[in-house]
Amino acid sequence: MATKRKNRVKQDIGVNLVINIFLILAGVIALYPVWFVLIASISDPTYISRSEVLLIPKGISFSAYKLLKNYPEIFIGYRNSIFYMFVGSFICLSGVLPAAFALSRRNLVGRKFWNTLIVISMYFSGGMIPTYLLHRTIGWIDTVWVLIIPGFFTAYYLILARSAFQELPETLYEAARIDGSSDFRFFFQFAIPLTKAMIAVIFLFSALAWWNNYTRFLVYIDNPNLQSIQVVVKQITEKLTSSLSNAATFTEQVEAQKTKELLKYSIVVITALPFCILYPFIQKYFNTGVMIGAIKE
Amino acid sequence: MASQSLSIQNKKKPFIKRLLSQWQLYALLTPAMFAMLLFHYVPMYGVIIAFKEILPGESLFGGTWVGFENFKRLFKSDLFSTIFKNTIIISFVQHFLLWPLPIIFALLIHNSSRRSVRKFSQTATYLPHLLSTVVVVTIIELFCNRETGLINIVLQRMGFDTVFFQGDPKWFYPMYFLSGIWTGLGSSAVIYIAALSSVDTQLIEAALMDGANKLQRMWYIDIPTIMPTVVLLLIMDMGKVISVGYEKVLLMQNDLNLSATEIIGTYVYKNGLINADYSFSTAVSLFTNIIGLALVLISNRIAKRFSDISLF
Repeated sequence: MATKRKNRVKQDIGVNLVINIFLILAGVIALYPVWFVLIASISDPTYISRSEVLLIPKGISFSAYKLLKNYPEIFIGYRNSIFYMFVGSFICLSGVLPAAFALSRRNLVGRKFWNTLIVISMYFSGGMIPTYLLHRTIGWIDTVWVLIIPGFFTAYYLILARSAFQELPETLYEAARIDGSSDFRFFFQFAIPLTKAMIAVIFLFSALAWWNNYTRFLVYIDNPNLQSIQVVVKQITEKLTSSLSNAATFTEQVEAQKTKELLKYSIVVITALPFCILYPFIQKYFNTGVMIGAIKE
Repeated sequence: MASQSLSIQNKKKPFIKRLLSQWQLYALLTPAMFAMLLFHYVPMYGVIIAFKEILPGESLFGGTWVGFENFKRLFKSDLFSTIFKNTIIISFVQHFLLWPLPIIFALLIHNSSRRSVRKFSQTATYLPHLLSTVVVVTIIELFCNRETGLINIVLQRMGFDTVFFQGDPKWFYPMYFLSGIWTGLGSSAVIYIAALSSVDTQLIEAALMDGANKLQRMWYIDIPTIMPTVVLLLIMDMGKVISVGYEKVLLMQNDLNLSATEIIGTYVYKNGLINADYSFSTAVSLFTNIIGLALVLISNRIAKRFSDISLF
């Protein structure tokens, strides 16, 4: 046994080294842009332009973050996105979980019919324009409803939840039945508490999707008081890029340009911040979520 | 015998009666199914506007029939070839040149000898996946800016000329795909890593007995193990070949790189929603949807024939 292990080690030592070095390199490269944005947002732009800020911040100041208060729309967008994140995810769960539970019951009348409709909805869609026109016909454009009400149904989350409910032992259901539990009661008292991990996964997926969503707000929302952080960020960075400063001298212009870049760095930081901070704590949920989905397919 | 007759009896119960006995389950099912029918199936019916002429103020159910006029207009226009070419270039690179990367990465993660390295690498490469498309595109712009971007600062420092990345359609592709690898590598690998964890330990033991080294084990054990997953995901990707997600492309688009960045999705958005050319844009997306569906069915068929793996 010992000699075998030794042989193995000898043979694989080079390969292991190459693999590990490559993996560390990949991790560092993946983190670097995020790190650079962070240190650039608190460094003096003069040092950045001289490429002296590469690994650690230099000339630390938080002036860019102080300038952000000139952009109240960022705070409105931030507030709105937090609202959408929680309310939207709650709506999503309150539609998806009960339906997934019902569809996980093998004796449900019309089970096959509904399951087929769900699968078809994943592969074929009416597309952007008919959906938009439908919402316009209902009269929902530029309201909160157009954003959160369709969330009652999301095919992917529904399939995730359904497979988790299907894994509950059938005997548990039978036992509860014999003891006189109704479907409602079983759902709320047994099914939900027993699938907490899956519910957390769907909540996180949904919350992240809401925080990062751009297109839906772009298409349906005009009112700046309802706009999400992502669209606000896009609008501000675009304005910063295209606007010409009214600075007179060349040096003043360069200074203005640097401030703009600094502002962009700090806006990126505060937009990406919530999930980057939470990430170490929620990472395991993301991995399990993907795996539940993978097993089912 | 008894249970058989019972089940027959059960089946013979009238449909309405069975439905009524399950009213609670149906109450749970209704909100989601109603949302599905309203927000997915009504728009699906709504694609008939591709065969109509809809005026900007009209509803989904209005308009006058024009037959295949919109499709004729599509095939005749110069635009057709440009947006289809751009879409296919992007999705071809994405699905057929870049798809091995997450698989290779998953193989390396699975075969790493150190748990800490494995954990660090997996965690770090997944992080960019949490960033929104807006943030990613803003970061690309910040790094590639002509005067103040890090890349150009470093280029200048090393004595090269600066490059105007945003201003040249040629540079769109490297920016798009490299950032795509950056955000997608770790997250796409998760599914393969999960598949690799089901490698039969007996096989590994046997291979070790026979003196197989790590590379041989990867080639002869790991890769065959994940092959079904790989094929399945490739089939699923086939349908997406013609419908590239347009969010990132739209965000990266500007007047200077338009010749490379005008794809089907961005065109439908701009022409359909901004210019209110509803029926024509619906015809464009219906046409792509049908091609996408056909591609899924064909590749599903091929996979079934050669490897017994299929979606449906």
